[in-house]
Amino acid sequence: MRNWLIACLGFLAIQAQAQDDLDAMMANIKPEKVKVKNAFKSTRILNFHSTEMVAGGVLDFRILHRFGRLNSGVENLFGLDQAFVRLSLDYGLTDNITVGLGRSAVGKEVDGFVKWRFLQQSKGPGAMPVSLVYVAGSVINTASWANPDRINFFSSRLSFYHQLLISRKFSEDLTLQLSPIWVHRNLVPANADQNGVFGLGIGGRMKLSKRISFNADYCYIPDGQMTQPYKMPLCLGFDVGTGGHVFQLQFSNALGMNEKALVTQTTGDWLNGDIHFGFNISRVFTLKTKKAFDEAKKSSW
Amino acid sequence: MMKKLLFFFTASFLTVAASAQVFMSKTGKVRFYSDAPLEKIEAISTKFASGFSLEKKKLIVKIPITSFQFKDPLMMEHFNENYMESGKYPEAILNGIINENVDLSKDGSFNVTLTGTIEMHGVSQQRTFKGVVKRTGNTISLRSIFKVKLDDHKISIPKIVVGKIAEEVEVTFETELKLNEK
Repeated sequence: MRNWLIACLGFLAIQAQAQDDLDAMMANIKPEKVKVKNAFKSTRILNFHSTEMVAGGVLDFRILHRFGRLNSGVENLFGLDQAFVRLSLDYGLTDNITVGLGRSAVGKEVDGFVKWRFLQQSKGPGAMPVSLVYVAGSVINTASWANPDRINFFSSRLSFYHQLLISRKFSEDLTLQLSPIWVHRNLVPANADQNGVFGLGIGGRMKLSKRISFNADYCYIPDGQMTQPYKMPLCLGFDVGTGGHVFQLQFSNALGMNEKALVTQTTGDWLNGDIHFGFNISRVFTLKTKKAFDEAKKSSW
Repeated sequence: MMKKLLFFFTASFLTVAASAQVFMSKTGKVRFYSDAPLEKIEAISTKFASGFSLEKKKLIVKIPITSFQFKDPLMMEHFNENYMESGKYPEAILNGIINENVDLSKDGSFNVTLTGTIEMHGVSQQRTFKGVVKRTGNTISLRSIFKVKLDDHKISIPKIVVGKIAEEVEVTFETELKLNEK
């Protein structure tokens, strides 16, 4: 009798185990490592680069506008009478390498850059906690020489910058970024000026809704590198995504629209009301079909 | 007595083992197609997990939303960010049981219906799907074409893109599951 009982219990136990077999097996499937995408809505936080890339085969046409200072009074419609533009084309060679070329009205500067994402944040087994992106760029001033009487070298028109971007998307809504930058100017205004200027950028975005986020970026520039009065560029604004466009509406004490100008030529004072309203429009064009899609389409299991 | 006991254990083990066959797969093809007047959108996932229990005729499918590939990266971004919110709802899960009393223990092909739930965008819906199930040797293949109403899963289409995204998308599902050898 006792043995019967044991047998029955054993049978029941096995039955119960079998009941949960499928569910257990499905639950046991380990999640694969997946990349964390869309840390930012756009490839720029506002003024500075974000770790977001232009996807491979996609062309991003960007139009930047910076108006005059808000404190320039009603006579100048609070700066709106004055407007500077930067037009640029960024192209994704791959999902992780972007090249870009732009020209800004401020200083008549042409700038080009290469941006390489060498690590992307991921989740799952063996996850990478942050995204790391390296940006290298150069800026050419094409304005007429300030002192045409002296011997001017072409090299004096050039500046370079190197920037490392480290970002982490902490949640669906919050991403923060740290971005040390080093700018080298071939020609500096005064003898005591350093050619190389170091800055530490910080920035982030906070999503307010699916399509709107609040963004901020700032660059801390330690003393003793530049003799001219300068201010640290601070920018506050919003991303608005609408289908193929991203609009960024922003307020900043900086007028510059490339890294060299932002780090070394920002003079506006927030507390004084030297604030420029501005906007960025990004319009993307997909020039190449995604390879992964073609492969998926061809595949049968 | 001991012999008898052993016999019972073995017998019960064997019956269970025979009926609790589980078929698994980590690939397949799920395609959805949105046919709106202004835009046709197609996406395909080939990386998802399916499991089928022969005994219970029960199917479970788990599809990571980020595994859907689009021809345009921007569509993929919008799909994940604006519509499916894949950060919050990473998977679509189908869980159902075949209604017909079909014998899948030997080779054969059957038209069947499967009743269960489909969970997408955090919203579950009770559904019945029509499909074909086929047993060939150690594999079971499943195929079904069905429609999903976006509204049923609280996926909202903003006015600005009406005409670009269909209110109902067509889903084609295919997978081939192999007997899981333990």
